[in-house]
Amino acid sequence: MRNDTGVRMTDGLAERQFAYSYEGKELHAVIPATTPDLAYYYDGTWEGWLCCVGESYLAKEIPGVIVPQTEEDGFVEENLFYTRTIVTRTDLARRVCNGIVARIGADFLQILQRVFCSCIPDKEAQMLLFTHKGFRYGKQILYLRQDVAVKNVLKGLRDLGREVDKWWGFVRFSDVRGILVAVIGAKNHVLPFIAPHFCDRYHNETFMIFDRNHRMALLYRPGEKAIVPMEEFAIAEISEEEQRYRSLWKQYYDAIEIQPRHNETCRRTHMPKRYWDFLTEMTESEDCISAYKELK
Amino acid sequence: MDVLEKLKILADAAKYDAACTSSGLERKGTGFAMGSSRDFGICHSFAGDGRCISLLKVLLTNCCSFDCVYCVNRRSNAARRTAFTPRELADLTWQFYRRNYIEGLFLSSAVWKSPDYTSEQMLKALEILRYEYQFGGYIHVKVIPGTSPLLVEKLGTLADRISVNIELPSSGSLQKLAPDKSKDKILLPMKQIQNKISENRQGRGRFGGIQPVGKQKELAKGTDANGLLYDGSITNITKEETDSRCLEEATPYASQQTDRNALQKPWKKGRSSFAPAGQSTQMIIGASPESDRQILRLTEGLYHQYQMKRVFYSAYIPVVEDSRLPSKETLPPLWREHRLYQADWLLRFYGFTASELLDETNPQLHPYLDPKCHWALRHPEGFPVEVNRASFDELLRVPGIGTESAYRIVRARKLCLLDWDGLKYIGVVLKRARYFLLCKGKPFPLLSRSKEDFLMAMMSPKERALFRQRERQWFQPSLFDGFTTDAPYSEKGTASVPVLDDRQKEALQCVTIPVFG
Ligand code: SF4
Repeated sequence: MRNDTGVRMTDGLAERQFAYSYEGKELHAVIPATTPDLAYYYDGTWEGWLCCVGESYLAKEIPGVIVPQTEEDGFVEENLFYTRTIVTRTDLARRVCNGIVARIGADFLQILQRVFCSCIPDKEAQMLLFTHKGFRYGKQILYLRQDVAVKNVLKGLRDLGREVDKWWGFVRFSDVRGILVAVIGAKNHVLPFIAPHFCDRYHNETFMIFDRNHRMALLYRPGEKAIVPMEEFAIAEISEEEQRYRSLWKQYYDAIEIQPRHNETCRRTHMPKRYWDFLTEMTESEDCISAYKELK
Repeated sequence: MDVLEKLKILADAAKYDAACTSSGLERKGTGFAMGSSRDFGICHSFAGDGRCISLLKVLLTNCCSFDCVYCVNRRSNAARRTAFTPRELADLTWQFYRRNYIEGLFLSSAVWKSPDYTSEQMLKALEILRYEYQFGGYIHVKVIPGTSPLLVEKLGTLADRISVNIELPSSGSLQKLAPDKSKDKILLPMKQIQNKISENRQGRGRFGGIQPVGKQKELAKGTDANGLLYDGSITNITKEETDSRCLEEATPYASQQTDRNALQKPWKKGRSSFAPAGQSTQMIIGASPESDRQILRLTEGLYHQYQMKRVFYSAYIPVVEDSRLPSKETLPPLWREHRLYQADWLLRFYGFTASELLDETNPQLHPYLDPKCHWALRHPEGFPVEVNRASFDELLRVPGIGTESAYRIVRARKLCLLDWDGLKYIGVVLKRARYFLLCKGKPFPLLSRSKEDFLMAMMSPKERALFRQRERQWFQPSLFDGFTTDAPYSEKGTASVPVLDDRQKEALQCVTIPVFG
């Protein structure tokens, strides 16, 4: 069986035995205790975070928080913390990266990369703790589900996976002069994970998916793709043809419901309200259909 | 008529179809102009009734020359009629797909002029999509009973899944409610599709069907032919027969084919696959008087002899008033549909046979207990089972243990004996299972074996609510004296079943059984 981490899990039994040895409290002998009033600043990139791991490993300290911000930006509760700014260094990042692959495993690194894109609170510090434990215990750490850091990290992973599933279906493109554009608002940074699917499916098209919450966009044209930062984007004008297909879709959406069986709860569980802003069928009003008819 | 109007009418007419999945086929987009298929299926939206919208589910036309009593499109019903042109349909699919509204097309149709004429129209739409546009998305097409085999074959090569609706669970009902359809017309294309699919899989050296071939034969032998659909004649059509009929009927259509052939190019190089996502079918539940037992045996026959991927049930929603049908006030038997799906699941994944689940004395599925629970209560001799010794198959038969849990148990106990804590730890839900299991020879500690507690543990919250509701009614029978109806199932129980019915009494009786352990 594969679980959501993509790592082959052994049975609960192994988990249990491991858990008992955990209860035996060897953990803190190796992993330094967390220093709650120490804060790391880093530049918010993946490499930056790897450097945090490297620095914390070298200094044998675990910061209470890690903030994706440089010191110049200012940090609100500055005086409550001792701060350290971690400078991103490619060589250190690469060393940490290699270290994780060699000592814990490539799939562990993959998990970290995915969780880094998720939106769990305080993810950097949780992941740092998780990595430290990984170094101490190896891949088995994944079975230690009662550990807070492990639990949070796995939750992040699951959250991300679920949201990726949803966006595969909920992205709505509009045709703007032959180019497909879509706006989404994801909680997690899903673009890198939905990209392969869309690039495969629409491999002859030129398209863009803009994530309003992360201010990032996935750009694709045949043979080329990129995920780039983008400040703002809005679809300026909707062509007549585009409006026509939107109305048709809305019409279809309304017609397919079996009204006597209307079930709002069920719809909301599968399609939570936060997605509705991005769904053509939920934003287009009934008027659009009549407006379209008049146009005719 | 404008496409918008057409879409409204033709989507509305197609909405009662249950089967709208796009899963079971993984195909990369490279090689097509656009489109791919994911084997887990993607839901693109959810309609107001909570159902997933994955495919563009429409009829090609609702003009029908047949007269099936239960259908809004029948010729004797006054309704607005319209039809898509193949081009309109292809464009609509293409444009919807391009905007990521849908996963593909689910094309079905009423019978316009003749089955062959309609199928040719459908085929045209598919040809435009596949050959001209090089569309790689998912296509499910419904075959009309009576379509000539050559057309079925052509549809099958272009579609990913192909299905023929069996419509009603017996030939008698079919005759009564769908006079223009007949068992032969339905079974012939079904058989042909099955042959084509397995031919194709054998050709590619792959193993086809849902069960190992040996097991299929064994099971098919074991099934009592009398219970099968259409009086056991399910196997009557041999492969040779299909082929010969193919040849006979092929001629007139083939003669028109020459010019179209010039246009065709293979939509994928070397493509020879026939309906790679398999065959499915659907029947209407509650429009005719068959028992659940008959329906399940039919289902079983369809799985084993026709290698269906899925059999879908659709609760009959009264849309027309007719003396041959349940009255228009009848609520759709959704609860029964749900039970049938549960039983269907047991047939497909849990190694149950239809005759085990239901027999002559027990022809209906239990309204308050799920089929597996009900089975277990009728077979106390098989319980309790020892977790550490029971085989995988035995574990699967324990109420409350699913494939996942059974799998976990089997793997975990390789390392050491499991006790109750261990079971909990590996994530087995014990609410029901604890009544049927022993761990290291010990029953679940401090387990209440009172009737009420046991019965409540056996029911899901929904079932409990239903049961309680009926119980209350039982205590005030005078209110409902006037009613007698023999429909024990209905979603909102208030409209029917005034008194504590036999099933409920039986549910209460069952409670005495599991004092074993
Ligand atoms: S053939 Fe029968 S079920 Fe199909 S559309 Fe016509 S009347 Fe309805």
